[in-house]
Amino acid sequence: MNDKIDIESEGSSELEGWEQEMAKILKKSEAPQLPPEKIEALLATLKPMVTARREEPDLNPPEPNSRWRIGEFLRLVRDQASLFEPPFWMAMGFILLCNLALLMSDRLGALISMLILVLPLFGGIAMIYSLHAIRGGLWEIEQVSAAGIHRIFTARLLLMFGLQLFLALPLLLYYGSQSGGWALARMAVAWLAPTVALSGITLFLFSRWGEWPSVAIAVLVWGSLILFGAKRASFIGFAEMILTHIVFNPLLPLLGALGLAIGLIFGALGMQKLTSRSSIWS
Amino acid sequence: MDQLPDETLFARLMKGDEEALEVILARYAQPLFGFLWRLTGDEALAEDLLQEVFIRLVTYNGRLPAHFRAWLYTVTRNLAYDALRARGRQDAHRASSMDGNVDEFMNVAQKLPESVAIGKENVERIKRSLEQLPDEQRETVLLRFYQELTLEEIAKVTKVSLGTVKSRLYRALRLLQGMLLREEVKDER
Repeated sequence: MNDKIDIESEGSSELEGWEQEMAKILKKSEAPQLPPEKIEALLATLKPMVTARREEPDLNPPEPNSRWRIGEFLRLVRDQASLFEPPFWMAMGFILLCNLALLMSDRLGALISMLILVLPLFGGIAMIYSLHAIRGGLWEIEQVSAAGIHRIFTARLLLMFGLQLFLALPLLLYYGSQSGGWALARMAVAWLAPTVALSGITLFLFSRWGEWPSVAIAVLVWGSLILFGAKRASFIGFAEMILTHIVFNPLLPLLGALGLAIGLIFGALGMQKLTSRSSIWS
Repeated sequence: MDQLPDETLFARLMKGDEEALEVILARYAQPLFGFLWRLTGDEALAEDLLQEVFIRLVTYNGRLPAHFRAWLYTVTRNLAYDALRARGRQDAHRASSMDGNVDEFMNVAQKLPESVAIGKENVERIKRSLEQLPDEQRETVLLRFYQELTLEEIAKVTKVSLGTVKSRLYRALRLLQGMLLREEVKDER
């Protein structure tokens, strides 16, 4: 290593003198000249191609605006909703109805199951759903849009999180009103951590293997965890077991932080992989 | 038009300005041809590649490059290496066998084949010596001395750090000097 540094520093200091001398020697070797008629022929070949460009629309991707204006960004977030087709909204509506039914029936166990077991999985699948359109060529169009791929991607993630929050918030608030602020905070962690973790992991899986493998793995892993937990407790007491952990387990903040970290790391890796496709334009 | 910077000319070319094409061609056809000829050692291949470079140029639809000259040489270099790879003419053994220190390079220079002709013109000698350099050193020398790119531009074209460019250049010069000296000694004998 030292040898390399010595060589480099020696090279830097002597480069000027070397250049003067070696340039003179090397210049003695001249490349053959391209005959003028060949340049003319090349020009004749190229000119029609250049002329044809006048007729073309400007395909040069515009540079994204460097400043993020809040209003524009919020409009971008709203516009991402147009990606979701009726089946997605129907699933959202169904879950919302279930949530309302749970609130009205005052069934705490089912409410917790919905919040901790169902919503994170829905979040992961919805994440993939929000990205599946890019497989159909939308990604390439987004790459050349004025908004810029990173901004669009961030807006989409934000929308997904907003929808998740929209589904979970009534349940959380209801639970909070029943159990107090401290319990609400712990329940929020118990919902948020698996949601972020599962979303991040599915995003990562999607960036590598596409939509179906990522959905399958997410469902398989999450389903296995649920079944494993349900087997340990009696199925009826499963929700109570979760609630006990949420209320009393001292490791909950740590596990929550771990879940968030996993989700953010995998999400960032997936995002990096997906957005790096923009390099095809450079 | 002749005074316009490359980037402006290229922007005009992308909008269909034939005059911009003429100026770019006048500026770069000959230097790029020389670069390609030195990289490939084949005049016909260099001509074909030159045409390919300019076709890529006039059909390019991406973002305008911030530094046209470095970008153009990057495209040219990549096309040349692709062509050489396709022809199976890249001497991988030579490229990898000289990745040692200067002394090792000098030893390699001393072991040049005895078939190196004595009494040939300087031009032939230089050409032959250049061909003996590892690819990454040879392209650095070509870009610096024949294409007169700055060290920063060479770093961009070859996608390495400025320090690596300096190091490669220095090693190449030392190696070239060794080779040329050796041939001079042979001539004197």
